[in-house]
Amino acid sequence: MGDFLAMGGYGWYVWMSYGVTALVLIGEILAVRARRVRSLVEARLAEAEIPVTTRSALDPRGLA
Amino acid sequence: MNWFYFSSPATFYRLAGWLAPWFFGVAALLAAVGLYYGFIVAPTDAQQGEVYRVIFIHVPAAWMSMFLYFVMAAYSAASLTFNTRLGAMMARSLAPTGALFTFVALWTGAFWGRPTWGTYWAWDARMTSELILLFLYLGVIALRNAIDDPRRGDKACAVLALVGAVNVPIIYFSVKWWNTLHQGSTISMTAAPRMAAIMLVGLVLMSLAAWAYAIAMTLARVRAVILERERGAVWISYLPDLRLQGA
Repeated sequence: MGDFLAMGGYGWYVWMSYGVTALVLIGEILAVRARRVRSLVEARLAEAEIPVTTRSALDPRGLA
Repeated sequence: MNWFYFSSPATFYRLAGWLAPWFFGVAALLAAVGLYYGFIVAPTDAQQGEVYRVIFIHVPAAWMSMFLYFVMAAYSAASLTFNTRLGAMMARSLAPTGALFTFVALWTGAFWGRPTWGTYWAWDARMTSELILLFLYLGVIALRNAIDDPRRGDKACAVLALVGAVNVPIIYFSVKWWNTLHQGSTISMTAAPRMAAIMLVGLVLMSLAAWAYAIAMTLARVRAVILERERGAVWISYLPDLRLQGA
């Protein structure tokens, strides 16, 4: 295990490459997830602006 | 089959929601097998030692950085010519993932260059043009955020993306056109790859993983972009997503 982490003396370069890449990917996944939640909240707030007659008068529970 | 069916944000929203988890799962699977090949199966390189293993993220990231820019430019062209909303939304969703892969290519290149070339950075044609690609991606993102009117923002970003596309062939051919510190391409369309087969397997797997990841992330992001842009549309009020989420 120690040998594996040492990467033949190149551990710093290999693990800085893979580690930062992993962090960046995790960051992107979390950012997209947060944006999804935010967009849903904003969509629900915007719903109030739709005239009631066109909104869900025929489908009050939003099943259509 | 009527392909224009899916150019409507309302139908594409559902399609993207169905596809994104599959692509994400495929990406995770391919990356797991690819890393196994890259670290366990592939032997130590005779010249470079263990540090060559950076190749398994550096090369896929560099390929994706260029390819995603072309896809973004293609969607931009489609949104300008056909005046489609979804094209601009897709271009917008591709930019952050493209910027991310560009950063990863530059970062891993620096940490590969230091032990093999003796420097983290050099202003050679390949690296400089890749850095310009990062600035183009960031420019597209910043321009979109700077313009409040979404339709005008779409048009301005589409033009910027199309003009910037000239940089991608420059990156690709830079190692041929100029005398660069960066090596020429190891894998080309016209000749046999100049690397061991087992290393190539790891590289191909990691490249496919990067593809699947980029598709999954773009589809997931475009769903949020559609909700942001179509806010107040009647079809959104019918979405079950709106009631199921606890947020």
